[in-house]
Amino acid sequence: MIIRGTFAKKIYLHLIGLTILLVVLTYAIYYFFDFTVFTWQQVIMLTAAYFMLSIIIYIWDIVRPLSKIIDQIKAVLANRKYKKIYTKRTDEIGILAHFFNEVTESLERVSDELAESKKISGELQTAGQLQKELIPDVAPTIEGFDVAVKNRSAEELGGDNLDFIKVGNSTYFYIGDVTGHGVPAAIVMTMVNTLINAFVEIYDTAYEVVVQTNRRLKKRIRATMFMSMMMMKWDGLKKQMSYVGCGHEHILVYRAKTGQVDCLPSGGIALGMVADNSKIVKESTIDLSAGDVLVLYTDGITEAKNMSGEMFGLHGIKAVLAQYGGQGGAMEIIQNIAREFSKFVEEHVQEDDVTLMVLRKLEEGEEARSFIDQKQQRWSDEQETH
Amino acid sequence: MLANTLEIVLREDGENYSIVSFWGNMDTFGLSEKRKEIMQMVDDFKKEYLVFNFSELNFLNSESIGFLMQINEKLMSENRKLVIVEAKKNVFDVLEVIGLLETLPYYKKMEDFLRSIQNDH
Repeated sequence: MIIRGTFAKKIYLHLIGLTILLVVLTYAIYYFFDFTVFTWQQVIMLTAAYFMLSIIIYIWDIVRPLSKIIDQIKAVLANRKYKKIYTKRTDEIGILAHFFNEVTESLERVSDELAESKKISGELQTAGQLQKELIPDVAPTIEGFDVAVKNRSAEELGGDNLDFIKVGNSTYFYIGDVTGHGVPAAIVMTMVNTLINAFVEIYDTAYEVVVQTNRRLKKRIRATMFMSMMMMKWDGLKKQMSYVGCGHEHILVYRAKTGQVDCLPSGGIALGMVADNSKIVKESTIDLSAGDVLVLYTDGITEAKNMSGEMFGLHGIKAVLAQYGGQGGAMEIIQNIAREFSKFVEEHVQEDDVTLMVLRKLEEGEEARSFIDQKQQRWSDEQETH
Repeated sequence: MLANTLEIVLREDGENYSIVSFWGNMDTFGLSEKRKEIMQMVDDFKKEYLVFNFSELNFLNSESIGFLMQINEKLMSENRKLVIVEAKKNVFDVLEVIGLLETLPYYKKMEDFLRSIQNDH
């Protein structure tokens, strides 16, 4: 190993200088004072002795500190506790010591960041779990209907949300989609869910619930955030289904008598876009006969792409509903739609949350069933429905 | 070098309006590239009508809609107006479904907008 720098120069200069000095001194004494202090052999021996002493001193100066540095490096490599190396030296040993300190500091920083990242990931998982608990895991039985729901988030915290709330003889239910994903979307979703759950106890119509929810929500969210929503209400006494569209996707209605699929535009305006939506949204009714199927969904379904870049689209979900709307109950229909959707998207990465809600009006005497699935596995990984 | 997915051009056309033309896709990537530039245009804008021409815009996502709302709120707070013209069908459908056109004026053709401001003044 070649050693360069001040440290190396010191060794050789020192040694050479002192040796020459000793030789010159001896010769000078001999020349000027005409006596021999040392014989030449003695001079050589003294020079050699001094040389050896210098070597011992400088080895002590190199080897000892170097071995300390090596010990700390070994500790790092063996994942043991290590110590910072304090030194004022600016030679090669000093450089090595400072380098060791810098490297270990960087390692500590990266380790802290990893730990923080793990902690945040853990908190996001917890938040995601809490958010999932807001979405009911069992849909309440709506008298006269089969109900089935499937939901899968694109990220830990989703922006799609839904709920079923029974109030007296009525059931309010909604499907919604907040702008974006992650923590901000999850917070908006939670706020909307809380407001709706409160207002259904106070107001009698889906219209009032929507108007009041929007009024409170707009004050509390950023200008860039909004939530599209379809608010539904089943009046068990009047046997009437009504809805208030808030800038959401169409409602699809499979008509059992004709096999046709009606497409009802949502209308209205998304929650959080304007302070007062009372003149923009309205409540409308849907006539449903036995066997008719109502399908609500979020744009994660229609905007999903396959490997060729084609979108599933409104036409895609309409076609699948037309094919399977007359086959089985809500659970069978939703599984068939999910399977066809998964076949279409193939292995394309899921970019947005996907939510499907299917309600089938039962025949007289048919038993109501409910089904909710929030599993995060790809819908194509589930067993096929026969 | 990757091509930008979104391009914008500002034209100082009329006394009381300017037109910003959009090309490409206003998606997450395109918006991230052009957001600052667009906001700077909005901050510097001192006329009455800021017109966004979407005739060459192919795609618009929900994040972009939020951005349009932000621009609209800012302009409204200064008594100015954001106007959208000539959106392609798929873009128009998105704006219509979400209800943004309930709050923003939209004109199918630029001439319709120009006629309407002439009538106003």
